[in-house]
Amino acid sequence: MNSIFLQNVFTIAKNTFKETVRNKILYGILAFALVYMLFTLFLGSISLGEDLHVIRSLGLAGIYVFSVIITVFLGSSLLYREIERKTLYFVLSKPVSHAHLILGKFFGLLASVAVSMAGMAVIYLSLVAFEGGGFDSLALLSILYQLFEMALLIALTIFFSTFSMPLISTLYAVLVIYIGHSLDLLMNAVAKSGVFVQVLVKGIYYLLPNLAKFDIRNLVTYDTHIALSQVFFVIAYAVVYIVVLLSMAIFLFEQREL
Amino acid sequence: MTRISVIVLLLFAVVFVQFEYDTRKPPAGFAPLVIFPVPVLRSADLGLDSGTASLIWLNAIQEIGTISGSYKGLVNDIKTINALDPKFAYPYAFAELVLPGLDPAKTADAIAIGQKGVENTSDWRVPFYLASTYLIHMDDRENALKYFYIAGHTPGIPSGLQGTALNFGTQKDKRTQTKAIWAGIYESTNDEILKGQAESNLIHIDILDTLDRGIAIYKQTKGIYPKEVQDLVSAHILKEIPQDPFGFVYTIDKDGKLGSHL
Repeated sequence: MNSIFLQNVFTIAKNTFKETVRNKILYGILAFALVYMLFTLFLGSISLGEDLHVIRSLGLAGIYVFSVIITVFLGSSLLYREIERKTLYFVLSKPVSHAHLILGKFFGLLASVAVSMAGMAVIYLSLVAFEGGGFDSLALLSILYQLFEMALLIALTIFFSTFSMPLISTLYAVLVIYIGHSLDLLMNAVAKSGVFVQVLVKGIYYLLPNLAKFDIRNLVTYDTHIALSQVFFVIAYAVVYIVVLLSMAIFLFEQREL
Repeated sequence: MTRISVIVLLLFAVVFVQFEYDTRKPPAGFAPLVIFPVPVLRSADLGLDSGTASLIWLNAIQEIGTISGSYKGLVNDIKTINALDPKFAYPYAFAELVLPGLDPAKTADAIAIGQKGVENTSDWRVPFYLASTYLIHMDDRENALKYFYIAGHTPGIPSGLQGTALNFGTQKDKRTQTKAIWAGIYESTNDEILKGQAESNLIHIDILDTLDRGIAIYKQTKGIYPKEVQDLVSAHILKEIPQDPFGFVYTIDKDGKLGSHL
């Protein structure tokens, strides 16, 4: 990996970051997230003394839902906008490869999603501290897990956007998110089915992104200890899957006639 | 300027129409939320089980006092919360004490919910309230003893209540013991419904104590038992007949034993 490669990726990432943080939709979503987070204070106050539990469970859920919305909306139109505005031709006429572009887009969007999540995390931690819950350090681990899930989703939306329109990419992404969180249920549902169905579902279980492992919100809400080996395998799964998706995205993007 | 005036006027019109709508609206009952079965909720909530359980909990507590009938919806809500978020302790504790108070036919449900709560959580309130339910609503001292023992050995129980729980069964007077349990619940909960229930029970026990003391004084001074509670007032032992929070009317039999009916 030479310095020109890193420099190109960094430049595209920086521009993508600037472009996404200037997007008004992002601020709209973040403003809504802020109102929602403050609203959890009210919901906590009507929960018959379970304020902290309600704020923690709904707060972490809010960070997740708003991060998914930001990721899917910004991610699915990232490449399409470049093609539509014809800025892609200008970029590719320079000594910039398709791989530089895809990786730059990935890291740029990941940076803006991470900044948005950090903002929501600060509000969440302040609310928990305000309600007497102290510094919720375990929640930071949960948010870090969510960040890896978002990184995987960004790679997924970039992969989809190499061959489909933004709306279709969004639909695909939402579908994969739902399936990705239901794979354990699917496996349990076919436990008593025939061998063919079981093999088929097992194939889906292992091949599609299994997103349930990124969800430690329930454990965090009850201050449950999380083993270090588990953290390692969750991060390893995300990194390997992201590499696979981005490699496929680069391959498809190279084949595409622009 | 004219345009701004028109906008302001239209805003007034909006307020007026809303006000008129509200004054004419018939008093509607609380429409309980349709809670889907747990597998459906699990597959649709993107793994946000704890958040979903919190929302159902908020819905469940709104139902109390707003729906008449069997409280079937409330039981279903709490069972759904327990399945989605088995470690969320308070709904178990809440169901144990509040359900039998709202509808005595729901005592078996309350006990079943409480037993599940003792298995899944390490919150002292769950076994303590379960023991209280066994004692108060079922007069089952054996199970009450078992769960008071568990509560007494659960970390986090306030020291005063730990004494009450671990000393259960060692006092002669059941009423003193029951009063100590309700006082413990009253002091340890922020839940207004439960606090209200505990307060009513404490007042009820105080009235029983007062009337028993009054009957004893009457017997000592007059040599006979009073025929009715009014006799205690006529004899200037009581200023007035105490108002029972549950609406009980008190009677006295020929042996001076206090009775009551609704």
